[in-house]
Amino acid sequence: MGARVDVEGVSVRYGAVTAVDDLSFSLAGDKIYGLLGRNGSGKTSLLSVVGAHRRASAGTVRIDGEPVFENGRATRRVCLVRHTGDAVGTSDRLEHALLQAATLRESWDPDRAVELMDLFELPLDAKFGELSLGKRSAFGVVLGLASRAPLTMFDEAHLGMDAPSRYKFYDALLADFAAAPRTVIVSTHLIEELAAVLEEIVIIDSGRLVLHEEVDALRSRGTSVVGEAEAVDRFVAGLTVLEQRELGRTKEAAVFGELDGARRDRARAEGLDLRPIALQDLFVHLTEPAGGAR
Amino acid sequence: MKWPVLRVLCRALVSVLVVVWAAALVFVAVLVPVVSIWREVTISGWNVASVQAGRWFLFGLGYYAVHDVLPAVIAHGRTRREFAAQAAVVTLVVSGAAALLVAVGFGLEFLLYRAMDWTQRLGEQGTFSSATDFPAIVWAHWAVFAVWMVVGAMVAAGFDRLGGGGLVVVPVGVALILPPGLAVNGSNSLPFLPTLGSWGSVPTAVVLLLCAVSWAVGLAVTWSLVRDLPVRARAV
Repeated sequence: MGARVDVEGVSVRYGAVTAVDDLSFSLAGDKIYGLLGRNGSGKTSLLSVVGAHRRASAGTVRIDGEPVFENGRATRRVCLVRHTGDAVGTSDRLEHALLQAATLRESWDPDRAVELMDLFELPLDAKFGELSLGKRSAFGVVLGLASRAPLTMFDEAHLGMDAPSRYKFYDALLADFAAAPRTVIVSTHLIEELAAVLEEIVIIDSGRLVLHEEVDALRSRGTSVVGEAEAVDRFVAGLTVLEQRELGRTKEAAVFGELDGARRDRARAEGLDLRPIALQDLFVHLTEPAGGAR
Repeated sequence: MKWPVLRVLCRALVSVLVVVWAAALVFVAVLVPVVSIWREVTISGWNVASVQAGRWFLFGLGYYAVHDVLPAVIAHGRTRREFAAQAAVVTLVVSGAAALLVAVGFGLEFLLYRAMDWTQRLGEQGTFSSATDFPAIVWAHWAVFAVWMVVGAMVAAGFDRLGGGGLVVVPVGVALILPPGLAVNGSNSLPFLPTLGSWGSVPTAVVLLLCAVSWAVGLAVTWSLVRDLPVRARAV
């Protein structure tokens, strides 16, 4: 059973720098969520507060209705894997780290851990610090998935993984989720790669919420309009235009917002081509400093 | 599973303790006979190891507990409060184990010295003057090691919490280790620093009280630093 997450007016400040700024949203749970944002957008700070790795400067995070910071009932239900993980020292052997996880985490699944160690070809007697970046990331994934925590979060956990390893991660994540549904948050830059896995997306920028939507709904709201420049201008008038490009007399405009049947008919009548925008491009447009949808 | 943090800490620290103890024992057992080739052996090599290096080793274990194990404990869904409560017990368990091993070391050295007809002098007059005074050796080392371990944890908490500003915790640590160091152990000096003087023959009850107060103050300061200590993401 996945955990519900309520982020209520959370701010994180480091001296004069505000990393997360009065952020609020709720995740109902039992889904795989994507947390997207540019570098420095506040993703790691936000997840650190949700995972009780740090106290919020203001606001509260609740897990199943309970404040998470220094609340054992809530923290036991949470697992945050940041980058290559905080749970292992460089001199620790992987075998030791697994034993430590088994001792500390009540929901730990040792059999799943062994399966995942085999999947990622991680030797039990290796020292964590001797592993490549990709293998260290893979070990973080092992700790996250085998934790069976009702809220499991991966913050750039794919860092340094090669493509085959990343696909193994996505497959393992889906298999885990199918076997034991829970709430999973994945923070990533590799949006297109993960798009098939994600059900909802939360986009933050400069510590503020830009958007929280289902992936399919988000896809349907991004459209590229291509055609003769004047016709495109007429068509997009009154719509939220994220970006425009011209090549000679041809123009392409990225618009954000659902297009109803009548508008699509009108586009056809004016000889305009409507194309879906890749999720990655939509993310770039939405987090552009001059992004029209913000 | 009950006391998970205590289990994790004890498993990690006691195993290292035993390995280092065995290595120190071998080192002293080899070094002293080598020294005897050139000069007469008149002091206890084990006393130097246990009084000087032993305290720093316990300091290091305390530092490791906060700097390395606390982030892992939080990452596995435990709270700082759970860590602090169970780690406080661990300082007593580990320092007690270290004190027992020190006493065993003195006993083994006593047998070696007697066989070789060497003099096992223990340095200045302190709470124990003979290597066979097992109870006094154990409680004196236990008390001092517990304080040093807590101070190690406190200094780690200071630097982890305040960065370079953690230096402000160092004088507090020195203040905490001075009274027990002056009162016990047959060597009234800070490790690797000149002798600071002696309080002479201090009653056992006073020594224990001093150590208990230092230990408790060290724990209180450590808790004030770790109670909302952020776990920073490790560099990759």
